[in-house]
Amino acid sequence: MIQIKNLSFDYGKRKPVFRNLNLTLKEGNVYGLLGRNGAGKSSLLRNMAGLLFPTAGTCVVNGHNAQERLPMFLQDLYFLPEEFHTPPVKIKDFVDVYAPFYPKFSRKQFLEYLEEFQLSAHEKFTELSLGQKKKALIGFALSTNTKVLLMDEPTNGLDIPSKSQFRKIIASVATDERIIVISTHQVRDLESLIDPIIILDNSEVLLSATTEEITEKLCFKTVLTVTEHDKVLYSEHSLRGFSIVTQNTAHEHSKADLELLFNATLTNQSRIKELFNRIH
Amino acid sequence: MNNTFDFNRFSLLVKRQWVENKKLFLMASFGIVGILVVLNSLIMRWESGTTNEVARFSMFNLSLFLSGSIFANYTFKDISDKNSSTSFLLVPASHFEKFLMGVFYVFIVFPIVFLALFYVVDYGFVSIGDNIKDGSTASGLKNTQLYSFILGNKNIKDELGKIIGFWLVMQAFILIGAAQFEGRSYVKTAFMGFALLFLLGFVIYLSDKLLLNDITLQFQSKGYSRELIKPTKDVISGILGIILIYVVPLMLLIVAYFKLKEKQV
Repeated sequence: MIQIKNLSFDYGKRKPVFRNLNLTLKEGNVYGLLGRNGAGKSSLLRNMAGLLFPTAGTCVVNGHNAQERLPMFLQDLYFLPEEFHTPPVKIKDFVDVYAPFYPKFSRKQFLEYLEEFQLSAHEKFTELSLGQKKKALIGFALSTNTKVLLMDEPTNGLDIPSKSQFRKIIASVATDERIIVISTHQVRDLESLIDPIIILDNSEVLLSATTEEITEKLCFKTVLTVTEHDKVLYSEHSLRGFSIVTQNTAHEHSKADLELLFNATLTNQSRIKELFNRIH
Repeated sequence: MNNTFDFNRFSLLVKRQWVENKKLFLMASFGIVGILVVLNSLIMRWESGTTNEVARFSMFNLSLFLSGSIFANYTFKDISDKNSSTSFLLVPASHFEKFLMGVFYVFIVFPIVFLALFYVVDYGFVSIGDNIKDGSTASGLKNTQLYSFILGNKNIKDELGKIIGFWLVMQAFILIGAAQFEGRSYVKTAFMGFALLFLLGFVIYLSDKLLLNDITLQFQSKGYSRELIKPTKDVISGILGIILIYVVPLMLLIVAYFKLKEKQV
């Protein structure tokens, strides 16, 4: 479990990122972390990984204070940053060096992922493209079988087939014991995968809910014309008219559109917060 | 599970550093040999086969300090760049083990490799010089290997402790710089180092002028001779020497450890 209590974090006094953030992430979920540029998605992931230290409050991961970065904590957490470093060695040497640090690492699994991504263990990182390097690291990250897996923009730089391979692989490793947190701008890439959704903005969590809770409270539909403007939380032009988000007062069944949800949350922050705070 | 030190994790870190950098280490070793060969060639008088020990000793110091500082900075390069420090800090090992790995390479592996390389080149040039001398009609004394020269020269032998102490201080300071600065850490550390050195020199000058001159004047005013004053100066200089060799590097290493422990990226 990841427990964030009253977490405040800033990059100096003029750049506050979070104020009194509270969040609990439980096993068995693939969390989607959404937010505008600079909303603090990467900073939150780095706080969880113990790479950044809160200015106030705590971030406890699997019972460990993240900022202590104890070996016991680190061997059960893998963080794949958006911009990463790969040493100038062959993939197989990388695995030989790093795998022994992770007690649950599976070489068999890793080789399967490499095959899936059409990579060879004998290739050198320096000879791979950015996307290929990322695929090798994703394969390694998943093979560590750590309880916590944090990924910052994992689909950036991946080609279209790799994105669907990524979704398939993540779905296969999302076990009841694991917490996967994926920060992304590319909600369309991961729409079918991430649930619950966390939306960050203005130093706080605007929304943290499962897609079931979201569709219980909100309705996503396409209409020809927008009527009852007061009930519409968000609308935008689409090919078939308007895509809208309304409050689900009639208990209609609809599929959550994460892009619409994100825009609706940012443009109608107080109403969304009020609506979801009522649930809890 | 021991979260402070585990030999297995430490050896894995040592292996990691070697696997990721072995090519560069080997190239750097060849580079050092190449530079030493060029400098030795310039020092040697080829017509007589004589090589100047004092010049070789200066070359030894210069190359030890320069290559040592570059190596120390490189060893902790993983924490002076955002992407590589993310990877390094998240390796499941304690801060102490990571720090110790750096210390192992900088204070144990480097001096052994450097001394071995220097000895090989020095031995080679001394042998070449002696061969030239043997073939020459006006043959003189044989050349001395640098280690024999150092150990046989009392003045230099006395200064050796200070040189080692200063080298240890510099290496520890470079580790702090690598942990402190992001990007161009070597240049920034060098700048900071020279600024501190200048400040330290100024403080030593002032204290020497105020404290020791004062002692000298007091002694002289009471009619004591210079011979009585010298031991006092020697005691102070001895204490400073011990501080330089043992206390300052240790303190700097502790600071470097905490810099690593508190590193955020």
